Amino acid sequence: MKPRIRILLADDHAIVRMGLKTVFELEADLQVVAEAATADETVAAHGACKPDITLLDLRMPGSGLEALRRIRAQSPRARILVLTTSELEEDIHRALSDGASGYALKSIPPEELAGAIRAVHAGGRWVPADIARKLADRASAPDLSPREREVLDLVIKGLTNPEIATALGISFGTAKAHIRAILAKLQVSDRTEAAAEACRRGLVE
Amino acid sequence: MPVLRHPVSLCVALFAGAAPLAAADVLETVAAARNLPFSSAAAGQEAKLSGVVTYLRDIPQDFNFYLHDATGGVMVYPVDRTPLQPGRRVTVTGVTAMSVHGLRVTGASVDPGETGTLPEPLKTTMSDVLAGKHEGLFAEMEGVIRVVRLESPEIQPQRLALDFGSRNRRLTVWITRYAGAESRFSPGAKVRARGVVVRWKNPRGQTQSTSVLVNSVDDIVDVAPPGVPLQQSLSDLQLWSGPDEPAGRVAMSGVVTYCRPGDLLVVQDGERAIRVRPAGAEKAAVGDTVEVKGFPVLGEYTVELEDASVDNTGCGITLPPGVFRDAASVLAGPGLVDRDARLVRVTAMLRELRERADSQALEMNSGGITFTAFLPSGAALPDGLAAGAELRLTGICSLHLSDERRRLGRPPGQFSLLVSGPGQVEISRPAPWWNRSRLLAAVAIIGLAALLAALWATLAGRKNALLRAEISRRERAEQQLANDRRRVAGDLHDTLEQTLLAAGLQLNAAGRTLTAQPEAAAARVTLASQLVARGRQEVRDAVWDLHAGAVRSHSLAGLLATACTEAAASSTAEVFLFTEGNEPPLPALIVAQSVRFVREAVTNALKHGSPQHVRVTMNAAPEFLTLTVADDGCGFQIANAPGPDTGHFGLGSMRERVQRLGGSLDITSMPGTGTTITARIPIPS
Repeated sequence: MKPRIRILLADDHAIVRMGLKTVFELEADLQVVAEAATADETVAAHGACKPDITLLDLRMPGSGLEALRRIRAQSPRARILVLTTSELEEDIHRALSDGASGYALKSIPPEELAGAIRAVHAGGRWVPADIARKLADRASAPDLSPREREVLDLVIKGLTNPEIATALGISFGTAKAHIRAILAKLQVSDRTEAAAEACRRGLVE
Repeated sequence: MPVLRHPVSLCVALFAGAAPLAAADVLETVAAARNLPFSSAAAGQEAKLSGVVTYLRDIPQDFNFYLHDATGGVMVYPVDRTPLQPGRRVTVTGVTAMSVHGLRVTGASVDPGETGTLPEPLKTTMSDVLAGKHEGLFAEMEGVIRVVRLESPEIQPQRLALDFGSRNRRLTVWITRYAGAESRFSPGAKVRARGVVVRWKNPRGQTQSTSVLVNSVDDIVDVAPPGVPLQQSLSDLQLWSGPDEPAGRVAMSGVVTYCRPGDLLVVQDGERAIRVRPAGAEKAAVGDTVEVKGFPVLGEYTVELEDASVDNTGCGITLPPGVFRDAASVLAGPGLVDRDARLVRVTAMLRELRERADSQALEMNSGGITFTAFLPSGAALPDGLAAGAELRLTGICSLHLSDERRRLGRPPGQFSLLVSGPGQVEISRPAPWWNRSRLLAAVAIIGLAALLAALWATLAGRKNALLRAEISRRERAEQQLANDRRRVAGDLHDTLEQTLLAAGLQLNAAGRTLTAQPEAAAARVTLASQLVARGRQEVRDAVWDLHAGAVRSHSLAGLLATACTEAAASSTAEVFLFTEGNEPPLPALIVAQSVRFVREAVTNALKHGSPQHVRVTMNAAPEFLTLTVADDGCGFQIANAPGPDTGHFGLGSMRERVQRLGGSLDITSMPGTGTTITARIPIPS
């Protein structure tokens, strides 16, 4: 009998872990060997039981992406399948560029999820078609500079231009220029839309 | 003689100590009456006087006479008209009074006596008379006639008046009967006049003028004919040595440079000019050549001619006026004395224009000297004559010597200008557009404009500030709405979505094992339904959270109090809330999650622990919010606590909730000792 695929379930929702465990128990080749509810727990569990696959939720205390990076830093060959509710381009982009082998949404039918686990375990990448399309869109859109991200963050917090200038220690004119650049890159016409678009794309927490 | 001069005092002296006799109070001589103090005489003293009538005034509107006795003369106002003639002896009985004629006896009854001749007049001089002597006396004096004129026609019959002496020391001889003799007298003639000396007084008895009342032209005796006046050049005339020298009549001729009809002429002859005060309304105009005969007198600073007759002899040309660049130079340098009455042209700035009753006065200034130029009233002034204009004025220079300078022997320090008419006023530079009133008006307008601008700016600023406040209020509201949406969305992701996902997974597994493992499938369906129930609670929480302002507008303590009250309502246990510390402003996320945590913890305690009391403590230290829910229920073994696989999600979800806020959850419980759940949530600064 072929060895079962050993899985680390990393999700801060116990009921979700419970559900996933239940469905994986119905699959003969899948075995949940460890569970984690926070980033720290995930990294520790990965180090302890060296799972074949880590099913990782991005949204958890300590940040799933953080856990992803730390695991990949410790074990560059670790195979991680992101399983999350986030359809934000930014999350997908980050997760895949930080070394995730696949990106599945929690809305995926359990049988399909099992297939994804097997595909990733087999060494492939698994990304659903609509997410792959989003990634292509994302690649064509210009990135916001780190400074523009900071400015955008403050815009979303509701600061006015002078307040932003003061907060970042830049001139009023510079702050305005950053905001113009942000509006252009996000292809929106005002700050409210910018905030909405930034949330949609997952550019901010 | 004392006895004669002071009969009243004598009487008082004689009868001192005895009862005064009424008869002793009656004045019996003119001298006695004249010696009365002013107030006694004015109060009225009885007088009975006898003497000769020296002067009789008998016209329809007036009847009085002068009585002369050995001691003096006095005016008598009888009650009735009595036929009298000068020289008639009379006895009068009346009371003393003070009038415009000085002392008089009034209300008098007259007892005429025999007709006689006038007494011998007192020989005196005009100087003595003018010095105040001989009032009421019949006197005789010599003098040179200055002016011959008729009394004003208001009083009829008119008297003939002969003026003697200079204007400031004038003596007038009034001749009552002169029929046909007006032409007998002419200025310059010396005559001897005989009449009663009279002084017109003010109500306080002070002399205003001195006259001699003469009954008839026969009382004037010619002493010397007028003769030919001394023809003099002006330069000689101006050297007249003053009032000590007898003022003989002199003649001069020249060209009229200024004329104020009936009052003043200025006549120029070559380099010199002189003021002439005509005796009557002389006909002369500026530019006429005239021959003037008059009496020299020292005016304010230089010699003038007064009581002058002026004969017009044709037309002439005067020298052009002396030109001065400013007022200071008019008064400067040698030759100042020759400048008096001369025609000068001076440039100065107009400071003020004043209308007076008899003239228009231009207040001028130049070279630091202020002077007044007088124009005839009613003269049409040139257009543009406004304060600040520079004028070139041509007029008669009138030097003024102040008392101070007169005392110190200094030359005049002021002058005025007599300008014949508007033709002599030339505007050399118009008034600047700004003068004081315009400047003030401009300043006022600018000030008003500034005020309005400031007002407008203030209002606009206030409106702006209001708009800005409104904008930022809306922005804030929008921001809060967005924050709320994000918070609720995040909350639904963390709760309902996960719960439904878990329920879906259970149902999926149940479906796949329905035939192979029916019991396990049934358990999974039950679990799924419990998850769905939990989902419903989560929906209720989300809806509560969505209620506008529920989280934002209340303090956490207030919301916790409501949550505790609601939870306790369905239970017999008592729920207490204790709050410690001052609640700092908390993010809405913490408030919302804290309320849910407490609600879930209290609900759990009431549901599973059967407590009598539940104590909720909220401690808001600056950095951490600590929420404790403690009950005195049955407690449980933590290690054996039922988990989500048996449908108990409370502990797990509370822990997850607190962990997502970066906090920690601590549970203390032992069977029989109750349960304490403590959440420690960091408050972001």
